[in-house]
Amino acid sequence: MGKMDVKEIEKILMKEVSAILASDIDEIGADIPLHDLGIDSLGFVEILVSIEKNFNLRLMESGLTQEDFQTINSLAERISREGV
Amino acid sequence: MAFRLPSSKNKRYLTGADWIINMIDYANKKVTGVGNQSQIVVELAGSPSTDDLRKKLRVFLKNYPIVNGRISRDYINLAPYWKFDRKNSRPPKLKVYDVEAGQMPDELEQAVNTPFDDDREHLTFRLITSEGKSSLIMTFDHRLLDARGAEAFLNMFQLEQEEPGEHYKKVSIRESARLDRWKEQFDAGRDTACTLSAMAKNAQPVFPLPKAQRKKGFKFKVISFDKTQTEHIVKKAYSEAGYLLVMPYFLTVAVQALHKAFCGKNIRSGDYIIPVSTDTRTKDQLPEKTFFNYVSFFIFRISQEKADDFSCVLNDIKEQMYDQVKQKKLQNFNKASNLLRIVPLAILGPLMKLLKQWPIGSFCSSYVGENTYNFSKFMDKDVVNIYHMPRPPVSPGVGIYFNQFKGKLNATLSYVDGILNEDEVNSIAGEVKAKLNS
Repeated sequence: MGKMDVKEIEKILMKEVSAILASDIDEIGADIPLHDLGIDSLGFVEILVSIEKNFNLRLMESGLTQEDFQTINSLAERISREGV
Repeated sequence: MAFRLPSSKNKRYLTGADWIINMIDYANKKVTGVGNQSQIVVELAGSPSTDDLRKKLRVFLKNYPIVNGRISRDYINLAPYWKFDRKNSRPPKLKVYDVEAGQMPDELEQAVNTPFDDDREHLTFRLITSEGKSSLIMTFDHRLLDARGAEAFLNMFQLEQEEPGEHYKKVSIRESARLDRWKEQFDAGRDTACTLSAMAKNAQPVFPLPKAQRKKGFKFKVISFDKTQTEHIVKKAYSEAGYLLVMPYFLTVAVQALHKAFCGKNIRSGDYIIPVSTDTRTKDQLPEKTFFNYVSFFIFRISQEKADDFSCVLNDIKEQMYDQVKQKKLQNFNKASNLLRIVPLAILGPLMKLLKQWPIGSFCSSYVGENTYNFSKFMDKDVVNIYHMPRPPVSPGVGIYFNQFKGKLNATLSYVDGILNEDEVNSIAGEVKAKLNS
């Protein structure tokens, strides 16, 4: 599989987040902070697990900074920087 | 003889999670005389009209006959359910009285330690006034409502006052009997049994229960933080634990505070085992899934030897949380507990003890998150704070619970009277404050 672009990663993440929130994918905005979407500690760890499943990246041990993880968009860029 | 199924409109099947809560209720009643109940305390600036409150509660509760249900069974006793009578709702029990300011903590404790009148009473209200302020207390049976469900129920009451309508119609009481997918449930049962056995294998530190706990009940210490302090705490949690990982951060604080108390009592045996209940609903599902229990449990194991090291405990909790989510332990726990519904409560407790799968835990904890009560007023009076006062399972008989209301954090230490002395309680509260405010 070739290197994915940020938009492709975002699409996968949006699907995962909508499944975690049991909501329609159209309601998930890539620029909305995850806490405003209703994601809590458990939901956030579920996202991290889905990242490992989809991109083979285990991020739990990384800094998990708000800057990198706050939105689907910033998260997609963070994943992209890992060379996915 | 043919058996007749009761009308499906008047019953709601209990899930495995509900049955675990029922098991704790049964055990708590046996040991302390009072079941698995909790209460929400709504602190108000001022006092609402008593007559008005009574009238509005009566109108509101008429739409929820489910609150006066009781446990029954069908399908040859395999699936317990909640049976209620739509035509026989009871008026709300609301006690109103005035106390001196210093008496309030005792009154709150007495409220949550008072048993319900009978097996159809699961909800009572008190309005305690004191020097121009008041506290509305909703004491509830955990078999009917979990913590977030109770908040949502209060929210619906206020919603009904501000936007009268048909909010109650959003509440669903439908639940399948789940008497299918047996293989899936047995596989989950095997996985959960292995997990619990591994956790229970070695001795775990527990506070010894006082001998006469039946007469004593629970005591509480509520630690509240203002908005500025809470902002600082959450910022620090994001920075040290990671974005949104406040639950593991608060749990680390709780572990360290209680570790000091364990060491102070010279209880040094094995690893701490900590069951942490967590909500399995999304925010949007709350109006529909208000009643009964939508929770599962993380079970953390923390080395007593390493408990002094904050970073070590925090990273350990984060790792275990990640692994338990990845291995679907929470879902498995709930699937496995569906099987337990077959066993009557009087047998379930002793059976779990025999299999060395209960009781488990050195203390309990949870973080309910930001309060579901969305209004800044209750019955036209400003809401100053909202917090919970749960009675944790006995044993271990101790718990630290966190919640937020309008960006203000509360931590409630709940313990069987006599399990900790006043100095120990103050020391635990001091540790929690110092670590969170640091």
